Amino acid sequence: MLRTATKIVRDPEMALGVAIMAVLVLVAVAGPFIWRVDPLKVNVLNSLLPPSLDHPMGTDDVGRDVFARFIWGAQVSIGVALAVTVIGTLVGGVLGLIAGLLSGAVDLVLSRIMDAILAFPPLILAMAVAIGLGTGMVSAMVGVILAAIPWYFRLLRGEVLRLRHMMYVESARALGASNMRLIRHHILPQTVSTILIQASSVFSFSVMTMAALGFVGLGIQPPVPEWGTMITEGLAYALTGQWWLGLFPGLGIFALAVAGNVIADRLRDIYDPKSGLGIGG
Amino acid sequence: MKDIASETRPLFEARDLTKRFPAPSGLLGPKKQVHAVEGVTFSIRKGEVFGLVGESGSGKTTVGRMLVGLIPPTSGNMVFDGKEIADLPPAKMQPYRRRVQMIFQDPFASLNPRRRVGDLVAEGMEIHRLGNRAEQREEVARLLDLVGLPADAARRFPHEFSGGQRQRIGIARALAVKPDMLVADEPVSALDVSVQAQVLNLLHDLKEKLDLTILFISHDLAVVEHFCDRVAVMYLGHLMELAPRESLFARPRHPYTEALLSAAPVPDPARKRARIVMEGDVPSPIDPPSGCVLRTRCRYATADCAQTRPTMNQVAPGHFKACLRDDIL
Repeated sequence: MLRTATKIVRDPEMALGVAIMAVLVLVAVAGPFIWRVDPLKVNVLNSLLPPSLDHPMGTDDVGRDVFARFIWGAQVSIGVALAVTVIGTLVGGVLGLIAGLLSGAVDLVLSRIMDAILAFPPLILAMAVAIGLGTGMVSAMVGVILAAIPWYFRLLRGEVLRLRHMMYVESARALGASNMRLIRHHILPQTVSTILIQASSVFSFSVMTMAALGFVGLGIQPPVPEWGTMITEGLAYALTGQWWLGLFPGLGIFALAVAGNVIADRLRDIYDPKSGLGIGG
Repeated sequence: MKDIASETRPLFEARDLTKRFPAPSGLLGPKKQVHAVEGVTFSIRKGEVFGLVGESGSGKTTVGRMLVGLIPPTSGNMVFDGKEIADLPPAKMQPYRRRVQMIFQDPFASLNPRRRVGDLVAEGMEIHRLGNRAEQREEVARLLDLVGLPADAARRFPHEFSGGQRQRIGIARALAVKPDMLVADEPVSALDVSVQAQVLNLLHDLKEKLDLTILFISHDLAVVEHFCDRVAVMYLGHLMELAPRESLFARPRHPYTEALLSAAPVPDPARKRARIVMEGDVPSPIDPPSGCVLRTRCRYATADCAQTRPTMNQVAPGHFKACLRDDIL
């Protein structure tokens, strides 16, 4: 593990991804304590002010501080993406483990269900679910989680099928190890890297999809300042010159998604067994 | 070699042991099966080293895997120490699993690379709840010493060891649960020739010291001749011949054994042996030949061999062969 940590620190791309992520997390967590401006406070007299020292990202059409809303938006985006990633990992991962270990009919049924979900483009699926369950944060999240579950499912199922036939798993079975023990000691520890990589991708996917849902009005509803909805609100003013309304939340989404993808990409290379660097040990 | 005549009670018996795997087949075509092991019958006496030889694909490893309970037989019986174990539910298998342990062929793949040697050796004791943590740690130290590894090995990872040392770890791991019988599946064939003898000698010493019974699976006839008390020869899932070592190597009675022995190198340039070459390839176990499975490659085969499946017949004391031709060899 130590060598992996060293490798991550020495990797410039990885460092960039982690740095961007760290800055955004810092903005989300510490922002409200430093920038003590109410993101919901309407002040029509100050509407549509360009960026200045008082308002680093300007103000919107009803005079709310865009920076304060950006901070809140960061909290929402990161928080929702984390929740989606964790729940998706757990549900999809556990189902994948079960399918891989039990195989047979259970595997067949679960796999066909996952195939059916995968048949829909992820964004369309998330939209359909969000509409079906009624617009709002929770139904949008359910949609995104549902789209992400099959990815974890297939990944973990494949890993279990691969590892199940590893000689050291056989060897533990010959000693009398139960399925639970096999998973806990011999299978799950080997899949941690794969899960981490997938989780980073899903994190990005969630940021983008939640923003897309917000953009078309199916995600988090106003007045909560979600980055996607903020872009929609800013769109109307983009042509009249008030670029700051849409630009900053757009940059936020961009940075967060890029950070997630870069981390996923670099993790994949670092954990790749063929790169000559074994993990553990 | 210890006199085995005094202890002839069979510790393990296989009767008509059969394993068929579903073969990959088309969606519409008839369901096909791989006949991995077909009607194999033998018994292993307490305290002996029973050799199982055959080329790859002969089903010898499948027999071993059934024996340690890794896969259930399709049909047939397995009796261990007087108890039927072939159709036991998994929960009742547990005491048996402790008593029969396996040593794997590949000492690199059979040890989890992320666990320390101490944990690997202690795993069986944890599973079978033998002793508390402190006792287990003491036992690990004792076992490591027993197999000839330094005491500090417990804190290290498998990749820090050589192939021979890893196989010693594998042996310690199997011995940790105090088994009565070991199934050694090609335990030295992955090792460098120079360390093969060391590991074999270790196994031999341990067998004497711990009163073990060993099923020794191998394709290496020289090793088998050196190590085993009795030998069974397998071909395409069937037993061909079963005999005490001296009897088998002095005078093979089955055409397959004859060819097998003639293919093994003799460490004496003065001794010339007629080389008997088997024609053709091993037939597919999905569609084995009718009658005797060897007949497609046997130089003694007659028309009758395609009709009748030979059974094991005693041709000399303790020497059995499955061949219709009594007039040869």
